[in-house]
Amino acid sequence: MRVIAGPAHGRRLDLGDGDLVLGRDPDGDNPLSVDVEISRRHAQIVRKGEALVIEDLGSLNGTFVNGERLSTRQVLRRGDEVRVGRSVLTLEGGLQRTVVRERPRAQPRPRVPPPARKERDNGIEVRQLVREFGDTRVVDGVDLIVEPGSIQGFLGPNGAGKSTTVHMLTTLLPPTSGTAVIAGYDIVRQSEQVRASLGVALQEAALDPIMNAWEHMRLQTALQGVPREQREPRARSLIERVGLIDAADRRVETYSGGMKRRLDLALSLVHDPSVLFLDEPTTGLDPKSRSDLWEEVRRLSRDEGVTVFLTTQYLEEADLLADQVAIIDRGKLVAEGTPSQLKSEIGRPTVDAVPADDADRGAIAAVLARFGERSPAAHKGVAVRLTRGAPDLADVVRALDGEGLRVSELNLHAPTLDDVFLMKTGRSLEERPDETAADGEKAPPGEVQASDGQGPGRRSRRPRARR
Amino acid sequence: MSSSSLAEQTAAIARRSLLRTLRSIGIIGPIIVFPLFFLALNSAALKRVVNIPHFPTKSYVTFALASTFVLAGMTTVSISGGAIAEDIRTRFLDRLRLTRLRSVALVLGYLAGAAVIAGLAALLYIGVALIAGANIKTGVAGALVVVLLAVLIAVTFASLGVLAALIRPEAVQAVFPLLFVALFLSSQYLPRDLIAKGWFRTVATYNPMSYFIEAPRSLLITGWDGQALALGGGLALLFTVVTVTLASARLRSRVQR
Repeated sequence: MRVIAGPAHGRRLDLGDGDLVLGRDPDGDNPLSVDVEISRRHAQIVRKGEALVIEDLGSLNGTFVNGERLSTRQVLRRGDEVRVGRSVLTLEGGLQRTVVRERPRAQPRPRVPPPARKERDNGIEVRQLVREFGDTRVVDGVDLIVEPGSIQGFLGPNGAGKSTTVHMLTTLLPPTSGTAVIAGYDIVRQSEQVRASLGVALQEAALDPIMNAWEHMRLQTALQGVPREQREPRARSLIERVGLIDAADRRVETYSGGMKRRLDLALSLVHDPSVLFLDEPTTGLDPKSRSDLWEEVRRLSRDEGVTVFLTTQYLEEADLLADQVAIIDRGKLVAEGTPSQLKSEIGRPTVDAVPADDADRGAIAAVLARFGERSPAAHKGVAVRLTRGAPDLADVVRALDGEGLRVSELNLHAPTLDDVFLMKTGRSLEERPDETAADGEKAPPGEVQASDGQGPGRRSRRPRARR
Repeated sequence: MSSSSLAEQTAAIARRSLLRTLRSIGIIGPIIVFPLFFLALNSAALKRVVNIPHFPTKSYVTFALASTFVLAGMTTVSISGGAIAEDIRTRFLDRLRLTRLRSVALVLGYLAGAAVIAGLAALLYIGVALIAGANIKTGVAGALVVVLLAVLIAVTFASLGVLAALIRPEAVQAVFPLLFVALFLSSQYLPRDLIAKGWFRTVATYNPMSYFIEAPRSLLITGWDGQALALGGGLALLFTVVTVTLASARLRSRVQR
């Protein structure tokens, strides 16, 4: 395969014996990488016996064979023209030779070439990021490196500084000091380039209630500089991808929370960003909508190599989605690593006992205390983190039985990210919003108080002091 | 992905502004009709004013029509300012700021809805006034220029609303009463040369509102008066340029706080 014209002029593509993925690969030597309108995994040509079969891999701009948009797999024949982005691939010389040439059109090239990038990647590097509001330091010296193409979970309770950090990283708020490099661009000195590289879905889906999805898409594609002829197909592709095609003509004011989030996500992707910021994207969503959004985020990272920076206060979300997790509390990073690394720091499971008779609570707590240190307890329960781990469980049962104490429930819990947070800060992650102070402010003294799990209905809701 | 042109960005925001305006016509409708009540009220209450020696016309409806355009223009403060204040509240403005949108395109786009409303309102007012006995000295061509002036004056006020909203969204509500006072301190009810010499006449002379009124009034009553048109149109244009510039700067600085 040889490229005879256009962005990849003069280069060769070897089909070889295997399959060929057409797409951008900034780290590789794929000639198509220079075509910014091609998705990272755009289309695939597969050898089936003597035939070559092409399929679209969910690209943003679509794959066209002889002018027809590809919706299913299609056998390629000699002379067929395959258009991906600004390039046309023409199959010549049988199965072994494919020539790529530029699609002729009167589209202006970008007027201003991107300024020199420090790195050819789409990672995030945060250095000593600080934001103060008056005397309050909301973000306090955050350092973070996010690998290109990974999903970074940014976890913390309400008011920890998550959204402030996101606002700085997305250039909506200037840092008081420190800086960050997003996709090779400095957020302070190259904010325009940063914005061009990233997609953002903020905490509350910022949509116009009296506009429908198409109108939002038209506005967003125009403002993001999507070439005119690509706006409609791109809008359709994204609306289909997020499952809103049947509702696209309806005003947003009729949408559910999940639909708004999905539209918000689609809008953030119109310009094929290399970095995606999602600020608590699933807050308030039903489980199905949440699961759908997670799947889309996974797909973006896995299939398109998009770096995802995901803030959340849901432990499960960070645990399931994130390759790396950073935990922030009161503006400072308190832990960083993969979910399993962080949980392995805790190492030991927790046993949680719910007294059959509430009068036995104190006695049960005393027995459990012999086996480990106190831990956040389930509703009406008493919990300890077992010193020797799961093998202690049998001894716990025997000890309770020996003391004549009856329990209605006895559960063994593996370590969670909440345990990690508790270990690092002495408080639980899952605070009640009304007990949380504003960004960077200390919670009123009366609200950060010791709890031994004796209060009813307080499991993982009230901030707890380290025990 | 290349950045779209200023005109294209302005058009995109303007389309949205128009869409919002037209879909909110139930709310905006009464705002348009409101100046007509003043026209009816003033024409009925002050119809004998035309008997004052040297009063320029025998039709007070014709005389009062000019200030109706200015009053209508003032109502666009709440249309455009309110729209941007709402976008700040819902964070839609953040969505727009996260694109490659130029600040000036955003501000100009927000003014489009106000311009269309002002144009439609001006046609309505002229129609109603003609039915009520008004006449236009400069004919159809003059009427078209009156509509253009009404649009320009409305854009001036609308840009003030946008600026106020960007400084402080709640400030939009305060702008209209201030302008209303300024309107009363102008040549709204009497030609300046018929206002008794004193502080009121001085204030009216230095009050730009007087010139915003006198430009369309000259077309309705006097004929083609280059000086009145230049003063009214020029001042409106100057104010618009200044407020749009300040609003664009303010928009840029929103992310630098």
